[in-house]
Amino acid sequence: MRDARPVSATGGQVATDPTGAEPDAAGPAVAAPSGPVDVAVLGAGPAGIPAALAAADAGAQVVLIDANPRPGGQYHRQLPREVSAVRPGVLHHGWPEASERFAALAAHPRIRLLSSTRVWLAEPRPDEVRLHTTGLAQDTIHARQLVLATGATERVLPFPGWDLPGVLTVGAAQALIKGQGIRPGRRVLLAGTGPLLLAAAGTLLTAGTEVVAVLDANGSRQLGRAVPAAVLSPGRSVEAAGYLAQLARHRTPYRPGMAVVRVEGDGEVERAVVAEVDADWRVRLGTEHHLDVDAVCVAYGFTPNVGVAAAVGCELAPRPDGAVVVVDVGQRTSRPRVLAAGELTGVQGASVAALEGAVAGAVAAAAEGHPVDRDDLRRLVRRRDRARRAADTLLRAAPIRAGWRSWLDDETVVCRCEEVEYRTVRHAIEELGAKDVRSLKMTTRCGMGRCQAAICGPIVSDLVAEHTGAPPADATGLAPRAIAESIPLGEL
Amino acid sequence: MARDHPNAPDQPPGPTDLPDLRVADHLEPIGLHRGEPFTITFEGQQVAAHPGETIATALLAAGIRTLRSTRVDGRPRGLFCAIGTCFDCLVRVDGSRPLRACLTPAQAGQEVAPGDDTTSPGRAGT
Repeated sequence: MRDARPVSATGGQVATDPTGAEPDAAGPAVAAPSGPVDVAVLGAGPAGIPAALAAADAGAQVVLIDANPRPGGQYHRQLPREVSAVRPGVLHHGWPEASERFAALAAHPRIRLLSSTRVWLAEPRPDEVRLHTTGLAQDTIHARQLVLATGATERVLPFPGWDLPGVLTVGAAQALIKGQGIRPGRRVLLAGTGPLLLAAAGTLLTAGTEVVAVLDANGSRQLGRAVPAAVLSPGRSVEAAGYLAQLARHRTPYRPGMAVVRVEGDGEVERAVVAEVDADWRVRLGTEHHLDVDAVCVAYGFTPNVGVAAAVGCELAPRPDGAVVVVDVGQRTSRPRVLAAGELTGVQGASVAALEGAVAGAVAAAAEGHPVDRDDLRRLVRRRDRARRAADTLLRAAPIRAGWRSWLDDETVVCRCEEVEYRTVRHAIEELGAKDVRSLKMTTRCGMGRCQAAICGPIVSDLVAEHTGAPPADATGLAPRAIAESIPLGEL
Repeated sequence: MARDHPNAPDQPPGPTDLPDLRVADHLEPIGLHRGEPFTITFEGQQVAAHPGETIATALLAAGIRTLRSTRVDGRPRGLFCAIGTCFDCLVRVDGSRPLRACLTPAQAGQEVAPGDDTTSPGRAGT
């Protein structure tokens, strides 16, 4: 029962940022419910939608808050209403289930969806959690229970030229095609590590893009280790085989053990330098060569989005890819009235997220006195645990290896917002003795820019950890702020 | 690729005759259909946009990849995350504060300019 954190706890840093919420509120403002609601769900992605449905099915009044104009999250990002598609599902995995859920969401009498709305402050109180929102719904929501389903942010690694226009994240390529019907480039290179690369290659090829190559820095040996997981979860191996067959049909090479180590061009991407890398991701000398491309899309896994969870005081646990929210068997966090489901509790993919969301929604509704069938819930928990075990093995097959640092040169920008170069970061660590991300931030301005360390946080955290020998700290150390979104000063 | 999106009629032909990057209307198997285009401008250049598109999409389709230059070193920047996280794609719309092009809907007649940061180096905002 700690007190809510006052607005001044931020030092005004975010609230005074001139780059506040965009007027993506293209539509009439919507009113948030004035009275208290049983359950508020933050995030309408693969975890949040099942959470909202489960809670509402149990009889709870639910508010579902989402930053995007349409529900689905990044994974099932939808086209704008103004653009129609005969078969939108060909760009998505698991679309039939997703579109069923969209329909159920829209039709449910007890769910209120607040789209294009972000929570900028969450205040835990003894009898409720207060959510202050910005965007289409600018209001205060009084929630008896809060389910956090804020997902994860893509993780990227820097390399010379990664800030040139034409270098994007793989998630950006997915979002552009699924959400806007536009390709990121004409000749596209996909590089990084993890299962997202293959899925994205599938989306790009289906959308008529020339994909020059798909490079996974982890070698085939690591892929081999993922086989037991694929056996446990047959859908995954079939899915991967389908993507590989599609690549073969388009004569797109899939190359394990290769990475993009530099991008060149006169002001914009013109070519990528790719190379074979060893097990530690150091470049094998003599293997570097050029590929002419106009877009390079990179993906190195995900970092859980724990910002709001941290702000309301949920216990976090360190993981190699960033801090995660600690939850119990019922998806409850350490903070009363706050639950969490999906990637922010550990990055395990959309099917695990959906099961976690369903558990969280049912548990939140039960906490408010709505009857939930205990046997149903137990079955759901067992399915979730099986799915978690399968996903664990699969994701361990795509780690980040330390040798990526050898791709950097002195002038490589590490923090894109504040334009902090690698030599400055190294100087702060090696000469000035910065031993954690916080002191590095103070000496170099890394993580102090508009993105609030969303991009450079995990990178800087790795660089510090390598030097001190300590395990990578959580990147939230770069941006511990009560205000979770940048908002225009006028809205305060 | 022959059925790719045509250049909008009010747009002068670009340096190439290649179709733009939009997934073509009616391309199998997706079968997209967009509404009638309208015009926005970027630094005076006319750019076609369709209903539902963001400013970033319209500019990318017109071959405009550099959206601004950075405050300290004047380095070119464009779309990076495309979902509102990285703040690289900043533009000014009709003289606004810098907005994320990837989140801001295109609307007829918008005058878009690079979202160059005019604050002094080392200051996060005003």
